[in-house]
Amino acid sequence: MLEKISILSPLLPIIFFVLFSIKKATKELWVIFICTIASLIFDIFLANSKWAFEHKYLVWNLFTFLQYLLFNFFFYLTIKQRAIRLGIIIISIFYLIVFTQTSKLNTEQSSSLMITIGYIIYLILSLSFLILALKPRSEPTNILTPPFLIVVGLLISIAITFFLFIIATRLTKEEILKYYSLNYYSNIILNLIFSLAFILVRHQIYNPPPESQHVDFTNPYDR
Amino acid sequence: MVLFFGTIGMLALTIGLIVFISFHQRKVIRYQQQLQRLEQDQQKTLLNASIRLQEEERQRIAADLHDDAGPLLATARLYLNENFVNLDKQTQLQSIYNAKQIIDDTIQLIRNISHSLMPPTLKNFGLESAVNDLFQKISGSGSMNASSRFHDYRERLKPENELIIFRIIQELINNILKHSNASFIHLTQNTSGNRFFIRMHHDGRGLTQTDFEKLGKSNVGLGLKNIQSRLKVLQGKIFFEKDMSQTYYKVTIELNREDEVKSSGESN
Repeated sequence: MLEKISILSPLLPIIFFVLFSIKKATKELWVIFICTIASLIFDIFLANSKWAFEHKYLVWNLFTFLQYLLFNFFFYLTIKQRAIRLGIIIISIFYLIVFTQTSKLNTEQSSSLMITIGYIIYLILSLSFLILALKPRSEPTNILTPPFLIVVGLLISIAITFFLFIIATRLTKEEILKYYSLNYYSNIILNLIFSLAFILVRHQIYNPPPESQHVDFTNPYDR
Repeated sequence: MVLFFGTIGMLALTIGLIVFISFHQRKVIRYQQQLQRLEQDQQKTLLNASIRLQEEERQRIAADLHDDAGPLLATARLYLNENFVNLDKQTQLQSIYNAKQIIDDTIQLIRNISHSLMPPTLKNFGLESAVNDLFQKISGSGSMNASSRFHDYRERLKPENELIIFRIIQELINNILKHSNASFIHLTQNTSGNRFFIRMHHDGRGLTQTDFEKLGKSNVGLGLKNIQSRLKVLQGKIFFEKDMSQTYYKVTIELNREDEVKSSGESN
């Protein structure tokens, strides 16, 4: 039951995106929308295809790589700092190399390694995003934006599954089955927070931030 | 065990981080809003001061026209009316002559009002001549020794900005004449790169920057607020200080010529 909810959970952000933010969505949100579609397709494919089940580590690796590229592109679009953008490009090349080397193995270890490296990179980028969000600005800026919620979702999702994937290779099959529910919870929470982010787009359209006040020094009777 | 505590720890750390950032951001927003409110209040005070000054100026002009020009013209009219009643040529000539005299006085009066609104020297010859003229008049009155010197004014400021600077100088001189009990005022102008400076110093009682800021925030000191609002238009700065020797008070007006171009562009 939990597995089915987890597989179908990307439907929620997809529906909210179509309903609330398709017209006003920025590039970053489109990237996340594509990511949720990819997640839905991959999960359905894994659950229903015999070939996919036989080559599940390869499929996982492929999805992890695609998800990694999409999330990194999201961070690339969200973080405007040149140095961080350059870092994203360099890390992506490094990740591509790791992917090409490990994808041939089709083992549990390779999949775990890919996810762990990806998570560490997401953590660094998420922290960079949050640090930049804290930077003082001339105008009061509301931090509760769709990209902020997406980063929060990503961080919570990583926090739930980080240790599971790190020690996945040391767990027995029974233990993995026992604790794999953590991954389902993480997936559901991530998609719920993405849905909130898409709803927030509509909310922000209807409540634009106030413009800064400027006082006209001419006498009101002369205007 | 590792998995349980690791996951709980990571989750607690993440949620803690998010909560901290949210609270910190809220605090920053509150602080920024408070700053904005203070700035708006200050702008409102300046706006009110500027409106009050404009209204006072209008009332003064209205009073000048009503009390001086009005009766003069009415008297001229009376003299001219007399021509219809009195047909004696000699009396007619005398009344026309009197009417002419009164009209000449009225023209002079209106010219004076017009000059107080926009000094012709400033309009025709620029800030340097207008300031020199003003200082000569003060010196000529014998009440105070006043001198001015422009060191580098080959390139004139925009006319509207020259007028603003001139008004600021007038306001400062008015204050010095009224409150300082000084025996001399000296004004110098110079430039440094893109920056334009006007410095005035006098040996009377003066203001320091703290006094100026305090008066700027209070309800008194209308003239000083007017200076502030005029400088805001020019995006200029003003500094009040006591000379190193503690004998003279110094006022420095600083403008950035690039800002001057921008501000005049905006006003256009």
